[in-house]
Amino acid sequence: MSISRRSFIHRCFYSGILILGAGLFSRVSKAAWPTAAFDETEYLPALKGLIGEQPLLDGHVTIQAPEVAENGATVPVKISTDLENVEWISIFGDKNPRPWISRFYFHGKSRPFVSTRIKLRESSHVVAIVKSQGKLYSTKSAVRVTAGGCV
Amino acid sequence: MAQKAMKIRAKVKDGKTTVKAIMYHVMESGSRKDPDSGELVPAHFIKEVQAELNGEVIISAEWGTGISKNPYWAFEFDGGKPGDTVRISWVDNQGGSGAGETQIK
Repeated sequence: MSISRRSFIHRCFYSGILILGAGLFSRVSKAAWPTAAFDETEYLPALKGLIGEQPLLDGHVTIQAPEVAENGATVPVKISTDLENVEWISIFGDKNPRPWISRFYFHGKSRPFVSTRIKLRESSHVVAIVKSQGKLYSTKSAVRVTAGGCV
Repeated sequence: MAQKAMKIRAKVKDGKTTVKAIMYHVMESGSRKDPDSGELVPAHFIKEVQAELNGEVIISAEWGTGISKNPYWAFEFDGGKPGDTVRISWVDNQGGSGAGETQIK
């Protein structure tokens, strides 16, 4: 391979910003979709874009994720909680070029549980945030990525 | 014929229904270069997804580019019975959409 891994990652990252700058996303923006969180390229601002200044409480949230992921392009994660009346569960990858990954809203008789596969650019934390009865709970899980997914 | 949009299974056991689905979608982040042309591949990803039980929405979701290609999604709910219909539908950032449904076993 003629370019270093680091340089490749940087190219992935900055070229992504250029595309966004070109306004490809503007025509599909929708009020409900968390554009403010998505547009952020750093974890803490992305988190703030989603939840504002509300404090995060510990406990009640479980993440099942591999300690070592051979392929960062597809990392299986399961998130569950013993909280009741869960409004939503949101997932972040704290070192991804777009740290906000997804948010799932629970209605009716659905159980507050998510199982999916996510991209992780590099070794980092998967962060899960659960909103229940107006409060936010979070936990994180470290994943070592041996081959990064260009996200 | 276009590729089938989704694979979806639903099973009930002890009152809990588990649904597993794979949606066929490129989930391009907009950061990847085409290896032949060197051009950036435009972002193309599922933005909104919802799951319905007999026509009633039970989970809705917002996705970004961090969900893997050909997304896998599994979820659980109470109160499902064999024969009930579970449907998943999605919309992507380019206006594309897809759906799949199955009966609970």
